[in-house]
Amino acid sequence: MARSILKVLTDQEIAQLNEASFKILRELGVQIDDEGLRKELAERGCDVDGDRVKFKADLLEEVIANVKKHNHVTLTSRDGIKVEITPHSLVTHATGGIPEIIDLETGQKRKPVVDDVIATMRLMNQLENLDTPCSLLYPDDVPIPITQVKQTELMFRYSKKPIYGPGISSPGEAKYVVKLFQAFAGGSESLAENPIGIVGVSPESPLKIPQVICDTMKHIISAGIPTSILSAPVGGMSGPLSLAGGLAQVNAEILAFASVAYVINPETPLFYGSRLFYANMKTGSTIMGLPEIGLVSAAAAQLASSNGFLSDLYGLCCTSCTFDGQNGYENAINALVPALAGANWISGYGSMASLMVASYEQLAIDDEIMGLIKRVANGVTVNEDTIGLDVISSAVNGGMILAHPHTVKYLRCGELFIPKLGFDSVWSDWEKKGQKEIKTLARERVHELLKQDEVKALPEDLEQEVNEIIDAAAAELLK
Amino acid sequence: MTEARANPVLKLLDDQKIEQIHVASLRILQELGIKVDDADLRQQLSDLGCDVVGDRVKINPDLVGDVIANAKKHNRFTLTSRTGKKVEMNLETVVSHSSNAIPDIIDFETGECRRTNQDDVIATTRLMNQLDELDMPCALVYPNDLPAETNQLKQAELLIRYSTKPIYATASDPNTAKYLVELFNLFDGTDGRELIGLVGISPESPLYFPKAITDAMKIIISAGIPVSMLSAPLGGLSAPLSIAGGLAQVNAELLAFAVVSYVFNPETPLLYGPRLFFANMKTGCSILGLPETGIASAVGAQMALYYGFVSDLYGMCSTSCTYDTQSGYEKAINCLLPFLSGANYISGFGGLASLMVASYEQLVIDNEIYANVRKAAKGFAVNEDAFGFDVLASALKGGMFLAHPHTVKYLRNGEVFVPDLGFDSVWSDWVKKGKKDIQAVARERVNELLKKDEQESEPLSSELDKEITKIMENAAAEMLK
Amino acid sequence: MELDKLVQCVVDADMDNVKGLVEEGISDGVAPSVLLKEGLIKGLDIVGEKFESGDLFLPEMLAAAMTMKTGVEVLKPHLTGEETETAGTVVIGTVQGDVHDIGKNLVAMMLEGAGFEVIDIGIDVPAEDIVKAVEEKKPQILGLSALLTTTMPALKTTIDALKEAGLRDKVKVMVGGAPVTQDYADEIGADGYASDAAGAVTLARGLVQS
Ligand code: B12
Repeated sequence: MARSILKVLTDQEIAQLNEASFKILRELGVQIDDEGLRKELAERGCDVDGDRVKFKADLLEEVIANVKKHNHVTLTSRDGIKVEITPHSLVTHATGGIPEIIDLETGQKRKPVVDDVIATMRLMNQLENLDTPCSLLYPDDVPIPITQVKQTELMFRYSKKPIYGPGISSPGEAKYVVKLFQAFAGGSESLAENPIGIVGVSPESPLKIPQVICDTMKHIISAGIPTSILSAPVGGMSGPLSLAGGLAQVNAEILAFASVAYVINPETPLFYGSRLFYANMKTGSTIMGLPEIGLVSAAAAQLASSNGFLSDLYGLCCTSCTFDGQNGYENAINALVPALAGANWISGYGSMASLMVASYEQLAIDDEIMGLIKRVANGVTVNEDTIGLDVISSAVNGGMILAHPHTVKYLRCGELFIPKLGFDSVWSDWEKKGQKEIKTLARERVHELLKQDEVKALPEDLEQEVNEIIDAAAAELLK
Repeated sequence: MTEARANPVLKLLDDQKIEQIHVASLRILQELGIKVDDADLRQQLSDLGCDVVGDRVKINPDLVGDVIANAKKHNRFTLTSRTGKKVEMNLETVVSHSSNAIPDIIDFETGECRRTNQDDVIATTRLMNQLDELDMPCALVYPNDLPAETNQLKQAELLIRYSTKPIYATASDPNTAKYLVELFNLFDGTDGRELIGLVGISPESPLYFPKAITDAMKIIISAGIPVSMLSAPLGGLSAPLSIAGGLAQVNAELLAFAVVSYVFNPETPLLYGPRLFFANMKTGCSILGLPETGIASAVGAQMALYYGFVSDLYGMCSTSCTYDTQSGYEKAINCLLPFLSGANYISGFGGLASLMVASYEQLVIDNEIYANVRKAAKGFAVNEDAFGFDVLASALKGGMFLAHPHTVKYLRNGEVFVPDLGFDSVWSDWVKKGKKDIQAVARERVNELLKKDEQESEPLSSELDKEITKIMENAAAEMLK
Repeated sequence: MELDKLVQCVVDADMDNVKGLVEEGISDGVAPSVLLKEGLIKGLDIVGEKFESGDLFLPEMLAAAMTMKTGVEVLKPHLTGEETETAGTVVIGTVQGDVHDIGKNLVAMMLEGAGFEVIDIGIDVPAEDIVKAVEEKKPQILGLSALLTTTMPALKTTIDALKEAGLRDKVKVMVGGAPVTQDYADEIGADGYASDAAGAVTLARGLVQS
């Protein structure tokens, strides 16, 4: 079944938005700090005006045509788990780099450490609806100049699934991240052929690619590591407040980034990573549970697909700081709307408080929410057999629907969602079972799942190679 | 009341699949037919060209076609509350209503679950007066302290007395129907007709119209009071487990209901109320928070649009028995799906535990969920002005997005949602404000709103009070023997 | 004739073949009591275990039970009276004023599946009629369903009517329905309560044994 069954934009509106982005790129252009890249873009027909590069439709069309050729990505983990991302898929990833965590034992918020990164990775191994984990946390016990390298290492060490790497924003670290990707993939050639994960790289809003990002791109894109283009303006602060305005800008930023990537290495797969978000406009603090997040993510899914991109979008996110009803409705709305609109890759596992606080329980709860959403996205199958006239006919003639083979068959093939974590019985039973909220159930589940996850040691030669890379990174970056 | 988008944006099924369900339902009606207990009614249907075999009436597709064509002409009406509040019902609006006749409630003071009574009906109705996202109340809870025979009627009476909004009543027997009509007629200016509400009536599944139901239908429908046709089979027990099969049956039941209504009074507006639900198939208890509730409602909304009926659907359903994340996501998903699919009338305010337990706080929380869903389903303007090229250009020249008139204008126009109940700040602020979850905030709001309603409440005119009392006395005399 | 096949047949709820397999067993000279205990009953025990551990859905349990029942029908003429004894007899109905029967039907089906003889006396049944049914059918268990809070008092009325008729100690009364609780069941002097169909079967088994 086609994935984009929800249309928040009409075809005409999509065309208008694309035209608006083209106009932005043509008339306002993008500040690109790297002179060499500016020159190469000029050679491909762009107007260079100081440090701004103004893009013509021809190049953009060429870039879009090339993107379309790379819109079927298969990631394979070291353990052989494959995640396919195609225009029809709906896969998930965790949030990355959250600065704080709710302690599983005390329930208090604190700074996370490497052990938390490891524990959450292991938990994510066991979450069935989570396809690609990210380093959920920003470990406080790792020096900042090597944190992206270290997070990448931890992901590869502990994840059984392909990884959604950290956001990379420093060329110094990018170099070592590439080395880690190559080491874990078994060499640079196998990396290009058989990616084991991706990374995210962000341009700056509005419409700027600073020197460090240009340099980071040179490392990552040249190495062929699939890259999600994370364009993240705040409406009303670094982009227009109007949703359509924000989208036009994001679309422009992503197309510009893709053009730069095209110049560096046209073979590297790219993802359309709209991260447009909004703030409480009375206080200025960003709040990620607003329904606009889901709405613009859905629109971005449509825009991405109109330009041949695979999309990677905000999904589960909430403003709520606790496990209450608000946490549930915000996460659900913001993940469901883009999922129905055909988003290919959805983010957000494990986060609360507008992506500022992580939680073990939330990871387990988000897995349940994603289960519901994937079920909804699967839709309804209509054919002679599902319509089941003879079942109705037999019931009308005194037969039994319950034990009819038709009933058993559809139960077995997943016609009904079966909650794995959520409560699925009646009030009296809820009382009997101790009146547990889903948070309590989630906590029990986390303990079980962590017990289940087994950690395997790395092969010796890989272990050595990885240690060398980390040592070299530390030696170079921690001066 | 919300203007729905001209084109519903979510299509779980494409047009051809909708057509396929329609064809299946026609076959069900023609080949299996419906069971009708009332012999006179069978005769009337036979006169319209149906085949009567024993107590089953097999309905021919032509008649169904005529009925649908006729129903389309009556899918636009206005309800007016006792205090003059209007609710427009048609294919372009989305209207919300509450759940109905829930037997237990979480006591507002003690937090304990207990049986509901008359006072709860009154208090929840008054709270619902103050919920700006709720267009119409049902009697949210069941007044257990009143006799069963007149219970539905008493619920309607209490709504009329205490609600400032148009009301949603139910009838499942002819006596209730008769006195409901009398109550409704108190507000009927006949020529410039004012309808104070509508009435929900349920046939039985599969495909059965008992005499008490058709008698009640006859009375309500002859009086021209809009009727919501509610077909509520349990997938796997009284309908096929497959969603498509359940919907084909529900659709057949609703079309049959429309055919029967046509016999009584073709002018009466009908609402299309597919209420297919499912159970935990390991224990057999029905659980309404499953995503299939929302999926079936979403397709139900599409079916209604296909025919031109105003749809009346499950919305904020939840299995959860407490104010946790689960109640939030279940309600959001199950409300969002039909909403995006073009639903016109959405239920579910106030219920927890698969509609078996009501809650004051939940009513207020649901008001907030509904507002969020409405915003997510509303979409946004896509045009030159909204693209904001000039704002961007000025920002690149060192200008500011924040203070730009474009930003202020869109902010004022509601481009970005402003939570009314939900937390809208950051962790440190949450700690500072006492680490409240949304239930705690809702509790405070309940108190405020109830106080506000007390201040605003206008007593019934003594004349109206007398008339209502008289009708209820007559009803009691006849029905409580 | 391999008994395993018969066991598997019940496990798979293979309604089409159960009759043939039992007949084959009989003609092969396998003792009917062996076919029953080591074939049909063993199969259903396996299904029961899987159900208890949450691997099976109600309809699968029920379909297996119906398969076994079909097999027993074929065996019946060959069995002694003791061997054909049912798990017990249950009279079940929805009380006066209440027409909800989906839940009651489900409980009845599951009880039947579990080997009880079930006599369904329908919906909206007045207390006198229930008393009469108990008098006539002499069930071990009476199951009463009420789905409306306003019809729950009819559960009590019915129990009181049984007392009046001197039948209360002749039958175990179990009650259920969405608004009914264990507390309420205790309060009105019922012998048992279950919140769902699966629980109803366990409850009924327990009541017969006590
Ligand atoms: C379907 C339904 C109907 C159908 C019934 C069709 C039918 N043939 O049964 C129709 C449309 C006819 C109907 C009518 C009415 N209904 Co009604 N109905 C329901 C609904 C949605 C589902 C009931 C159901 O079948 N559940 C599925 C089955 C499998 O579950 P179950 O019945 O609970 O049974 C399980 C257990 O309880 C237990 N069990 C049941 N019986 C027994 C017996 C024993 C011995 C044991 C051990 C266990 C046991 O095991 C079962 C299986 O697991 C409920 C809501 C709900 N959540 O329950 C409302 C509900 C029960 N109805 C309600 C009401 C008010 C009515 C009406 C008065 C008006 C109306 N709303 O239309 C009329 C009353 C008619 C009458 N006089 O009885 C209210 C009751 C409120 C109250 N005060 O108690 C409810 C709760 C809905 C609501 N909130 O409005 N209804």
